[in-house]
Amino acid sequence: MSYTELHARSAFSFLRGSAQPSELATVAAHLDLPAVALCDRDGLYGTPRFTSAAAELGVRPIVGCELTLTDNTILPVLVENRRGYNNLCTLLSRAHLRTTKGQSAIAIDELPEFAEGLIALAGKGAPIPELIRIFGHGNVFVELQRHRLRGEERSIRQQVSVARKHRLPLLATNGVDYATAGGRPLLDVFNCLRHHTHLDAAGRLLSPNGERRLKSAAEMIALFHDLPEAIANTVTLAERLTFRLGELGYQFPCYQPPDNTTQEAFLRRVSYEGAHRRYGPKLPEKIPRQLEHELALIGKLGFAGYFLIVWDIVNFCRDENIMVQGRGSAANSAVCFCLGITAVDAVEHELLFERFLSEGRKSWPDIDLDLPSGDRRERVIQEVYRRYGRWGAAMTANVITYRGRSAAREIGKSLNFPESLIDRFSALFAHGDFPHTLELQAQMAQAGLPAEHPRAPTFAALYEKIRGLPRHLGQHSGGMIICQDKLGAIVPLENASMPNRSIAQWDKNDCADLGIIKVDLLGLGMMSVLQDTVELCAERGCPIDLAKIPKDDKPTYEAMCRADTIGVFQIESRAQMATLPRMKPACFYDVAIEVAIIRPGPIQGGLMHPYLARRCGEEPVSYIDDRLKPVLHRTLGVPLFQEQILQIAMVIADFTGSEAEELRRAISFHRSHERMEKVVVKLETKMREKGVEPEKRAQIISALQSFALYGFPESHAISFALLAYASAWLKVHRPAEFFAGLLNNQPMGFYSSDTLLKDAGRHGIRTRPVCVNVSEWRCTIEEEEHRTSNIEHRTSNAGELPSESFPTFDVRCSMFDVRCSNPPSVRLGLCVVQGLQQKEAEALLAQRALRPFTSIDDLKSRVSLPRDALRALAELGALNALSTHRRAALWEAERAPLPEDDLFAALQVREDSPLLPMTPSERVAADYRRTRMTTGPHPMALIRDQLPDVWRASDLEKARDGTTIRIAGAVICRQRPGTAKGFTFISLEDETGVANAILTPKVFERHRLTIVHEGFLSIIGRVQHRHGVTHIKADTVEGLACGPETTVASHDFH
Amino acid sequence: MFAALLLPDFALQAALRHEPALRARPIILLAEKAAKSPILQSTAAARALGIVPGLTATQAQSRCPSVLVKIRSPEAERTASRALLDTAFSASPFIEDTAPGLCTIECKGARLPDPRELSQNLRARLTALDLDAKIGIAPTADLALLAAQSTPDWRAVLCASELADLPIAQLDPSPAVLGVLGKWGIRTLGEFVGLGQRALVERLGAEAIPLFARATGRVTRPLRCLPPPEVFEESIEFEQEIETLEPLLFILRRFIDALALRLESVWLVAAELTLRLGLADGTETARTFKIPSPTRQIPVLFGMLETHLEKLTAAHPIVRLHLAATPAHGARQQFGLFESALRDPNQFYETLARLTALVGHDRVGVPILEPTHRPESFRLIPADFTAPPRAADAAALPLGLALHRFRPPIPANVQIDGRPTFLHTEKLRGPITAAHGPMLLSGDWWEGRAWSRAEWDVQIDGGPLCRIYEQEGAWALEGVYD
Repeated sequence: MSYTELHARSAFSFLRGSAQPSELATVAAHLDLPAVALCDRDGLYGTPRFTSAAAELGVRPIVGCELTLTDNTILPVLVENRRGYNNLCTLLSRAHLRTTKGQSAIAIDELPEFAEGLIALAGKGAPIPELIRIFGHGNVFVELQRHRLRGEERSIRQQVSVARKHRLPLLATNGVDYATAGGRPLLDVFNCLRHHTHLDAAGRLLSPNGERRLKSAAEMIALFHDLPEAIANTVTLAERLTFRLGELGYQFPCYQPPDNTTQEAFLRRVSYEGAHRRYGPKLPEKIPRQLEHELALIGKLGFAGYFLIVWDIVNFCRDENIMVQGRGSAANSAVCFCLGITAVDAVEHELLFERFLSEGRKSWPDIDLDLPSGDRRERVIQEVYRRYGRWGAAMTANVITYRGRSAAREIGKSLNFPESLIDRFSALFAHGDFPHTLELQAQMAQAGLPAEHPRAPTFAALYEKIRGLPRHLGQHSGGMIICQDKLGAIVPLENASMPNRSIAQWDKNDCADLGIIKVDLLGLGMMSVLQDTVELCAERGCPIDLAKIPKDDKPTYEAMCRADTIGVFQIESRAQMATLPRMKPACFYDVAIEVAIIRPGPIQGGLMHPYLARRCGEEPVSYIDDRLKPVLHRTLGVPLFQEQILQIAMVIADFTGSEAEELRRAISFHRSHERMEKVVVKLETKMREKGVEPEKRAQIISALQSFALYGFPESHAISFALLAYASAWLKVHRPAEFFAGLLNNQPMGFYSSDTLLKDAGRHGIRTRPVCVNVSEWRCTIEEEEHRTSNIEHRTSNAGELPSESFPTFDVRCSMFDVRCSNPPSVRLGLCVVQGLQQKEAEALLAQRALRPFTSIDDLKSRVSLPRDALRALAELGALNALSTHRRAALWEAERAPLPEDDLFAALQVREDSPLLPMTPSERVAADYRRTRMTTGPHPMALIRDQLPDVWRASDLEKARDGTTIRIAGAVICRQRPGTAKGFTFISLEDETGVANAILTPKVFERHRLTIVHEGFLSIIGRVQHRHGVTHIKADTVEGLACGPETTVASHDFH
Repeated sequence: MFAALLLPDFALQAALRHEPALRARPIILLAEKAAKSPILQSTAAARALGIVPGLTATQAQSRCPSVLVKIRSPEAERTASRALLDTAFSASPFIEDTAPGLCTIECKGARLPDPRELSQNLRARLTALDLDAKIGIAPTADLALLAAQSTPDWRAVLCASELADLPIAQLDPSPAVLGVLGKWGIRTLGEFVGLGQRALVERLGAEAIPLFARATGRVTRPLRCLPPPEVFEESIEFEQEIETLEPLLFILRRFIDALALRLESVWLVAAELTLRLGLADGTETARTFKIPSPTRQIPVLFGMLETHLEKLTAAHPIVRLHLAATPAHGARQQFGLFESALRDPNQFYETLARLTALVGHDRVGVPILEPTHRPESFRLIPADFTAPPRAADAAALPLGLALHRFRPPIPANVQIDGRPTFLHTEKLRGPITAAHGPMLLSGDWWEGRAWSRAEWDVQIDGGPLCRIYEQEGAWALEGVYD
């Protein structure tokens, strides 16, 4: 006799199951169970993962779900056919979409409408007559479970007698909560979390034994020896449940061409129209050939509608003046370039179309659209919802899993550890657990949980077990799925935490595996910056067209070679800046390589150093095999891009398009190790057959395996390089507008506003403080004349230097070619003021538009600002134009307003402020407190006198290599990249620039808390000059004892 | 004339009062049981390293890895407060318990004490009690406090202008007002007063009025005097270490005599006795005796202590003895018609105390079933013999046959052939004709105390229906069904 488990829950039941779906599938295969039904609570969250894992292991996956009813009872249902599946999804979508995130309740009255195709399992206490009426007599089974507990026989006898009375079949299940008995402790922990208690107090909330595991047929038959029909029915019922998740009935929406032609014909027409716009009336010979090749394949695969719909979204963006650029593998397509979806000329860059679309490809091609982050992207998302409806479109989910801190916190709580111990354990993660190097046992010991602690082994075991299990469902940053009909009947939808957003219960990989098409609408801060910069340029009367900026601009490449890239997209990180002087980019393709090379993939694969050595002429250019010369010549014989790996396989192992597609999937993110192994074996075999030497085979396979971790496609690098180049060009040629754009889009990128401001200062761009009579909501550009008039407006600045007259440093205008004689300034907007709401600022601006404010009393009488907002403005000098100095403004701002009907108000004598002006250091502290940046001196400049032995950042180039010196400054960046073997990189900013320090793992561990918690550091170490880059190799790290009383934002361990 | 006795960093002083050796080290004090709580107070050594109140413990550790963390102790603060008040009462009967770590004394009469003499005397007494005080003397209570805050040891002032350099925070304004004053750059009392009352009230509102009055020393307020203390405690520090019971009992008897006499004078009885023994290693052992029927009868009170001490073994000789009696009014109780009190409650409790001394503290009480799956798991709670017995809740009883349990369970030998087939115990023996099971239970897996057991209900041939179980490889007969 055989047995099928028809009621199992995975960890996707969120705190009600403790096994990954794949673990359930593995154990089921091991136990020779022919089929298993996954019935997670109120959703199909784990179903795709379970289906793919089970199908690979030869276990038939059955779809089911536990439904929560409004009376809080649970009704497990199983899906018989596609109708049932669509009904279940609709039911779940309806229940989730009408309530808040994480809630779902179905009224029993709703069930009849959606009962078709579903089988109900009637457990203990179920309203059987009602279920028979709803689902039909043949579709209700009485579910029996035995977990070897005292007292359960009584209820089983009752259930059997009810089943006999209603002539219903019995069905044995084990109500599985974990795959093996080893999953029971974690379930107990989840029970504690669910009931907000801990293991010592949970008592009877915990499992009485570990019997809710997957059991073999033999075990279940023995358990139900007295009721053999309950076992036999599992097999009979399983045979009835014919639905497969592959048959979702999903259809991508059709695009309706305006002239009633076919989608294919219309796509051809708009592609050629676009081609003429791009290349002129006479197309180069290669273009029609490539277009025809691509259009034929698109037509054959039936993807024409998809291209048109994406094109339509792009057109919407253009109409709405929203900057948009396609990225990802779509950049390999000439059709996408001609349609204006991408900005990369695939033909010119010889990009591999097969990386985007091939005949062997089963899934939809991937077109990602980069949009300006914030409101503009939200407008596009809402447009998609508007077009397809809340039931027709959804964001894909992002499964948030238990990771270092969250895992430790939840386990610690359930083990009843004091909060302080958990805090200490978490603090030791040093912001982000990816580059974590501390061994678990050492971390536990440092947190105050030594190995001898009676609960330490349990903590360690549970901590390892819980990591990677789903914790809750978030939403993907931009992935949207859309459907021809109701998407909610294909995948359950639910509300996101964000208003007006709904999400599907599956993540992007699940959707891709099941053929549901996704369009990524990704928000990119730099797109916003570029759009804002372009708009500011236009406002100033010197418009620019980013599509037409020269690609060979010498000053731009010179700035890159100097690593003058703070604020520049993708090439601003510490590691990028350390490579640029060595890489010396001289053309656009070099920028693409620079973007791609500082990645975990090339670094871990040991490809970065050979490439740079070859580029600098320190190593000869050689090829793994001469046949690969055409593939690798652009990257000096070193494979850097995914496309090259595919081409290598095609050249050296005769891989077909389909096999290359298989390889692409294997080396994409988050793919299974097993799939990778299969492809490696195939590649190895084919290379051997082709007579490739073992040494070369090993080299190729090593490159392939490093790409499996973090593969980076060439098309992607080129798309990013476009943004990197454009931002670098703007920084060089339109610095004021560019910095204003950056400041208006904070937080973004690698550095804080303050660091950007200081960098702007080093580039001769003056930054003006916030002023209620001049500033707009956003940061703006001011011409010199405006500044002068503003200064004139200040009448008596007794005792206090205006912020404008703070000294600026090292004005190196000579390196720029525009407007150096009279550079514009950036005026900080009201948006940077902490404590001033946008609506308050808008009220202020509306009044100012009528007439400027003449005094603080005038401002107070015309705009109703909260006391703290007024105080904030006064404190940071924004009211200086209406007063003598900041404290005088504070003195006036604090005075209670006189009653409106006070007849003698005009006679009141206004006394001068008795307060002294703020000192420079007080002004800087106030700036940081209220805007997190200062237009005044750097805090380090204020304490420079107290640091006679500290080297300034700008002087480091003069220090002799190997000498031991001391540097100090505000920490603007702390990084421990996973690829750097535990080395930490710290950037300290002072009034002259940025000094960089490298810390060995030993030094980091010795000073961990100081490094993580101190805002200003002093580092003693040896100077290293390498390839034009200066570093300090740190020996000692200390908090700066006389550090300024300010907090500077830093980029930490991201 | 008023004197303010101020214990700076009172909570930290209290926490370190009995550990003088630690005071020179970097130490921080955190709020009680509060996660991520900021540092409340820190020692001078810690402050020198930049560890100041407001930082978190982690930040403190980053600045000094060896910094010692202390948690605020309300008990230590209460004792220190009591010691401060006791000292103050030695100077004047007019004492105000102004705030934690602060008391104010009013000296009246024609012959006021010399300020220097008074301050030095009080400081010396407090130093003897391991407390470091600052003392301010002034014509008003609030000015005396400001004077105390302005000095490292003692200071006498006649008017507020002498305190112009005192930090404004010493006026204890609300955080909001302090924040505004900080933004104005106003840091001292003198600067504050210089702004003028009208301008201040216009900007800071009504709060400015009392602040200004205090800053100018114009506030005269009566003290909220404490009543003279009714202290019912006695203590002694032995010159010679005590190693035997006899001298200890002799002193204790004298303590009891004295306490009983003092209680009698105010018509009170003792409801509780607290005995503290200071040991030579600096530690202390304490025991509190609740007196079921409050009394001041000397034999009863002494009997309790004697019974306890007879069984007590101290690791070190005794150097200090302290006995405190918590007073109460004599019991008055009206019983119901069929209720009766224990004939001699104190005798009953003394018997219980003897039992406790014999079998151990954790082995006397009323058993309560633990809410766990582990069978027979219970804990003991202290018995409350005054509450009427509760009737058993019939609904809470398990359904089915009643089980007569053997406590402890009887070890058994069981033959197994797929299921139990033969049972052999000292009480029962015979082949098993029917068996139902196993019922599996397990738990407590998280602390090395994991257990699991398999229960069977078995029918002995010609015998009773029994429950047997196997746990950790051993079988036992748990009980027989009715």
